[in-house]
Amino acid sequence: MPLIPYDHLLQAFWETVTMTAVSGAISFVLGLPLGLVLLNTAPGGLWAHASLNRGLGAIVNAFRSLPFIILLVALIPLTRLIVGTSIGTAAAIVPLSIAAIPYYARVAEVSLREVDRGLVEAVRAMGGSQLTVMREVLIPEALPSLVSGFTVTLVLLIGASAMAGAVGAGGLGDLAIRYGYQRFNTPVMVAVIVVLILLVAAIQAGGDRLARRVDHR
Amino acid sequence: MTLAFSDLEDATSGLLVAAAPACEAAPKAAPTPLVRLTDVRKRFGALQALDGISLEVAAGEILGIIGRSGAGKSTLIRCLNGLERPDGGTVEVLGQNLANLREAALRRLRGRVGMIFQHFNLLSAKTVAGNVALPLRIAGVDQAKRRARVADLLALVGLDGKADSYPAQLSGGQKQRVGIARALAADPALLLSDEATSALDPETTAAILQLLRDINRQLGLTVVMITHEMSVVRAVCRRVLVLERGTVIEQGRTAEIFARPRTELTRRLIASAQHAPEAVPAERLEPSYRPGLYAILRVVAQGTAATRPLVGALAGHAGVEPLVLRAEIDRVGTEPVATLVLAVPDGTPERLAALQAGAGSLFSSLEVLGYAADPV
Repeated sequence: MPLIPYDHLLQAFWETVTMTAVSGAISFVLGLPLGLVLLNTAPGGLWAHASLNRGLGAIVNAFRSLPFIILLVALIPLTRLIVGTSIGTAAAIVPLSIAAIPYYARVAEVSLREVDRGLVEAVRAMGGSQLTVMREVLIPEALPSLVSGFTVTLVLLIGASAMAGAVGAGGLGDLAIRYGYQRFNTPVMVAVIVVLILLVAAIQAGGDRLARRVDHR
Repeated sequence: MTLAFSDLEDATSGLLVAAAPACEAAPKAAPTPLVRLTDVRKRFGALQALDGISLEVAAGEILGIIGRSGAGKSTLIRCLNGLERPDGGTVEVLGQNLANLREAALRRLRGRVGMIFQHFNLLSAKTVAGNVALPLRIAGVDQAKRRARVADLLALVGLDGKADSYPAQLSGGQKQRVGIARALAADPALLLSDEATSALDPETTAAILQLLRDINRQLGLTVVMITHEMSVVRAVCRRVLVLERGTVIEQGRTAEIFARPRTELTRRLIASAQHAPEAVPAERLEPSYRPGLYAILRVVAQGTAATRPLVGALAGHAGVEPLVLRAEIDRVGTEPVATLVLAVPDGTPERLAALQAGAGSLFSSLEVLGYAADPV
């Protein structure tokens, strides 16, 4: 066996990328609408609804306050229900998504709140519906900030996916623990760390570039 | 100009109806106002923002609503397109009582009422063309028509060639031009302007006001302007309404108000619009006559009287030649208004009374500011 099992490393890399990408996509698709609801049900929002806002806020906070490792174990029955198994990369995507959705919802809510109220007023004054306001004002105007927030979420997911190794999800974190830590294979540990640093740097750079491209302010 | 404004027909249809029934000259019925507010009230917590406002806006006019900040101007203008629901009173706009409109009908009405803002409120993520096209997209106009209309509008406001720029690349004046093009896009019957020039420098303000005046004349578009600057009112508004603590404290033709302000607030607002400071510093003025003092007078004449040789007429009646401390003729709305500050040597009460009796009919107002030993 070579000092660094390159095939393992490559496989672990793709597992991490898959977990991060899929759960990231899910958290974006579900977290953004949740962020819109949190914003718009808040007092002064487009359809202010205090009790709904408080209820949703409490649920979102509850999920965000759970340590991910606890969430991972607690969600095993749900994971089994959705994926059919609680072991493997696909299984890890369920708890990863469920942790990331409320996180991104809050990030998105903050971004959307930053949009100038005057712009909302201008579009309402020209006869725009609430849907128009969201589609033409809130999302496009907050887009640079939504993209930056999404980048942060992805980086966080990479870290969380390492813990998902606990349910046999594989990935870079799992590789580092099993080979690098438990077998005292320092080169593997170093290699994993280098790959993780490069991966995070690439995501951050890509996210920054995209955010700049969509920013016309 | 190639814009087809269907609302011009609306504006003239009232005249056709009035002329139709009788052969003899029908008594000229007052045209239905475009906007009618009756006893409108709105309270925010402890603040009575609007306290029984009644007003009418006639088709084709430019109405100025002036007041200090906190007077209720913004709340008032937001009532005109239903962005604010009053607590009491009725708001009728384009013949519809806003209180009776459901959300969808209210949105349709807003589509016919354009609005421009102090801070332009352009969408930063859309190009100039995208911003101007938005009201058309909301109104469901198809893409080919949208493109043609956007091009026409940008030409109208003098921004051809800027269609693909983003708002951040434009100057303040250009941004407000985009705002105006956007407000005109859906063929509005009424344009609301909320402090539209307050964030602009004087030169740009003049250009934007000129554009609004042109649009009013060429398209027959009715405009309601909110402002805290009397100079804006003077430049474009035929009629003005002074708002203070949620009530209308004064209203009338702009030239009339300038010539004969009835309240202290209006006087102060007008003074701030006049370029020159006080002719004689207050500390040099004495409240009553002593022998030998000059009487310091401010006389205002409006309309055709403003263009007559006023100083000569005064001299004839006073029996002495007054010193001219300050004189200006301004165009207010569409009328000339002359303001003179004069010092009458040895301004005895008899002399002033003679002057008032002889030349008083020439002036809208003659006010004794005080007496001074040395007016210059």
